Amino acid sequence: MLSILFFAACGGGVEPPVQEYVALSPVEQAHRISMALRGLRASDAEVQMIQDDPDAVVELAEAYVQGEAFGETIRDLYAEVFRVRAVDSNLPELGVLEGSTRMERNRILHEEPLALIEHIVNTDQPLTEMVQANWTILDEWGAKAWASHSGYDAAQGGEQVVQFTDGRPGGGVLLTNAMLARWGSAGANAHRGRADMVSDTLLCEPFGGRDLPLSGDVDLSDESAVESAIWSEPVCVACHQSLDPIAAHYWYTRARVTNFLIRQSYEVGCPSALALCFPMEMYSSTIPRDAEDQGLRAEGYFGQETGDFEGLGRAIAADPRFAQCQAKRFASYLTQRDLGAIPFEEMVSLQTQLVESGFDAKALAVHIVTSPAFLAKDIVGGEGADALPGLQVLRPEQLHRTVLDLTGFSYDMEVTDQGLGLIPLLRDDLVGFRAMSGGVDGFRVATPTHTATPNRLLTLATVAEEAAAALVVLEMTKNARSRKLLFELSDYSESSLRAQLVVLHRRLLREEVAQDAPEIDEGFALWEAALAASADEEDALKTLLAAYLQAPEMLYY
Amino acid sequence: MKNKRISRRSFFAGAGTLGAASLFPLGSWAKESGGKRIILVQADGGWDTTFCLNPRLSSSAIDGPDQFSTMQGADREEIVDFGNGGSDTLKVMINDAKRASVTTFFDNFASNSIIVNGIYTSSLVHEACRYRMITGTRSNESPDIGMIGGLLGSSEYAVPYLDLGGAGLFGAYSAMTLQLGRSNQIIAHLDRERELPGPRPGVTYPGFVPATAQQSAIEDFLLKRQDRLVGAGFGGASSVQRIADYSEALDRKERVLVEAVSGGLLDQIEFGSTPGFGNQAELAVSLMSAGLCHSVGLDSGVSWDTHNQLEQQNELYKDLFLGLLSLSFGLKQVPGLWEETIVVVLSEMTRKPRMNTTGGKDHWPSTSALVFGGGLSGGRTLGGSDAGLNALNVNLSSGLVDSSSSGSSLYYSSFVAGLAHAVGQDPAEWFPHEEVLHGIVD
Repeated sequence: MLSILFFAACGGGVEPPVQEYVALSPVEQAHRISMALRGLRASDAEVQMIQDDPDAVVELAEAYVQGEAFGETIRDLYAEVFRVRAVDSNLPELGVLEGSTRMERNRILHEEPLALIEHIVNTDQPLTEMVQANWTILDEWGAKAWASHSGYDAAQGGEQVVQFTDGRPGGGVLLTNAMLARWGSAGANAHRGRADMVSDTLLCEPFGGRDLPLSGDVDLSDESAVESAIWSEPVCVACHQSLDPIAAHYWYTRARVTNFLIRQSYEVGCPSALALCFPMEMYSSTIPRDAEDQGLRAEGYFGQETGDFEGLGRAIAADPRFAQCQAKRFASYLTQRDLGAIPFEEMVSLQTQLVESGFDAKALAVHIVTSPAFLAKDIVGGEGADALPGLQVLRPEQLHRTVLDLTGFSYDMEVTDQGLGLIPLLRDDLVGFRAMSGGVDGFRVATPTHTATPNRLLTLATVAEEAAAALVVLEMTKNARSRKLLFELSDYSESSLRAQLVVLHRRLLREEVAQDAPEIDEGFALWEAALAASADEEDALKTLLAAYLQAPEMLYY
Repeated sequence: MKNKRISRRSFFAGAGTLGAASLFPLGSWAKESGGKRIILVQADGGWDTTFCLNPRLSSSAIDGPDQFSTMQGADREEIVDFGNGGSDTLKVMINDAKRASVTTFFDNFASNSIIVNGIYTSSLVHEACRYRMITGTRSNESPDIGMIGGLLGSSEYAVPYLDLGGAGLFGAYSAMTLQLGRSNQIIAHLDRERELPGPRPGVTYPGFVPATAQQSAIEDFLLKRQDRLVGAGFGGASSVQRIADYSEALDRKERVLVEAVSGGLLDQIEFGSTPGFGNQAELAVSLMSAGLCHSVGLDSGVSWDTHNQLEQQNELYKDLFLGLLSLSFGLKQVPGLWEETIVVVLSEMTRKPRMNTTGGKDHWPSTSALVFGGGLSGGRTLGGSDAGLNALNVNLSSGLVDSSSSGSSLYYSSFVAGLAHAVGQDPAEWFPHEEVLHGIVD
């Protein structure tokens, strides 16, 4: 709470200049809120709602966060934080996982902690549960891969809440099997890499980013000198007094799980419970606790005694840095700004809002996406406009959801002969386009790219063409009322087409224009050129839609 | 902003008639860019420099590569002087039974090679060290040295920086880059008529490829929408940058669609195959010589993070130098390209002097780099480390070890600033607060 109080005490002296925002149009506002929260375009009814009452943006956002798509956004947000959707994390098809596809095995490692947080948010539990929950969520393959859980109903299938049966204390995402697998520890490092991950992801204070002073006082090549220095040398103690006690919590967990090590275990016949074979034990409270004997510090959290992960979770949840960090992460993700670009005043305001709401993630998200700055196009006079979040860029995961919603097309690839399974190409990096289109790959591409790139436009063009083809075929089979975008498929007169184009401009290009507007003239000219090129209305429709679906207003919102 | 209006389909047809090779004869890369090109090679995970660039036999302070050697016949670890014989001569650890490619490389290219030892990374964490070693800063929001070099070709080349390794950092210049994907999946976009697996067995892509005139109509429409976006009244640095990037990226996308065919890219990559380092090296030379790109980022394609089984470093070095041989001979085959290119090979850290208890070595906060190219006066070593692999101070004006009180630490930032200077960028512009390592080119 210190930083909030500090701001309250010190922030009242100077009034910030009053800024007059140039607001986005109602249709732009509806789409921006919808895209940020759901990765979907706003419906006509939702756009109309904002046109009728510009103050309804909060009501609209509050409705959005109750929907399924917001859960997907929460997953995507924390996928960037925890970097669990890592292309190089994969399990071998061995033991009980025989018969699974690579994509199904990827989900075991990629989605467990994300599903946990999504469930917390969807069920209106405080966000602090993400470090305190003593349960997890597994799907059918995860339930087979991991040992020591109960409550999974195989007949029902899908993702389900399960309880641990190995005495695992409540550590929320930190003790999920997938996080332990993703964030392994090289033995000699005594879980310090994991401790760094905890501090980085949950407190926004990475130890690893700090400089290691070039000091002549310690002979770094002497192991015993180093072990001594982390207790006695001030430059070493400065980090290790905080880092090592967090690392100590991981004493009872599996240190390292890799595809290679699992294969090795199977090659020697899985000789013991400690072998890396499925179903795999990831936690054991029976491991002898002799950390202190090895010169390591006991469990703790920045000077507080914690005892175990439950204590660690409590301490993190109560730490003002946790609220501040998560508020920043929400703001950073939802408004596409780097963490460091969130102004101090805004960060404190969001932190306060999160704490006072009882760590209500939905309320936080609504607050962020309905702020005047987020819904502004510019600032009158221009001064201060550089701080605006500005135009937002379609993330690859959002492109997947948007195009699926608008056209029914899902950009997937089924590769059965190599055991890959159904690959969602906009959410994969093995043969897909996630990182190439601005997303993160979980390992080496750690931060998203929030702008247009040649790769991104190439992906958008291909998706637009394929989606246009799929949509036209799909719409042909439906009656006018149940069609997604095309309401008229038999009357290709100019007036009918112009009416159709008005709808496309509203839904895809975020603009409300009349049938005789120059924008519609341009769309109609496109239609005429496309028709002249093929003399086939169906083909011309595909061309028209392909162009609209890759327009800059589709990329930016 | 230039916009080529050659549609994809029409170009494929043209390429088929003319033959791709005839459009860009050998040496068509020679556009006026000013400065050198750069090829950045990352060996991700932390190499053990004692196996090669910072040669050390086992001693009371160091477990060297000789611990894995019989020291008989060809399986002998040996420190060989490939350099000028002076105090800064280029010495390398060789073992012709395990890493013969290292010997072959320096036999052929030592005179154009410089080793930089004792670069202090200030961190033991992979990511932090990687960001520092390739950008010269602590931030992954900064462009790496390949991107900085590539900007010298930003106006002449469709792709100033081609990131074949997939691990590049582009800063604010993402709109000037291209990646092919770890399985060459870019084929799905560049050759839209190539049949690929669809969403269900029996269904294939493409579902629709616009014909020539249709593609032209789409491009006309996109340009009109681009103009509308420019005039839409969005203010603030973020929006302005993103709108400018759209124009830049759209232009480069269209150029790539054309030049990927003319440069032979589509004939050299296959959807679904992951290119190894050797393949990346060959492709880099080919695409540079075809004039598609100015500078290139490569990756060794394997992890060097040998906390266990340190002996794997033998194989890793062998394969890396096989790729570097392919790269170097390839560059030399294209008139002028070898002289105009600087290749930087680095790993974010090295490994501790002593073994751990699991058969490997852990992280160590300094590293080495190999810099070579036809325009370099090589056979030299800059920087250094002591008997315990601790980085030594240097004279930054010469790059030579300087143990006097006036010597300076050789930080990653000075090293990367020195590379920027070597390729022809102004280090003061990119690294205004850093001292520059000289000695690579002057």
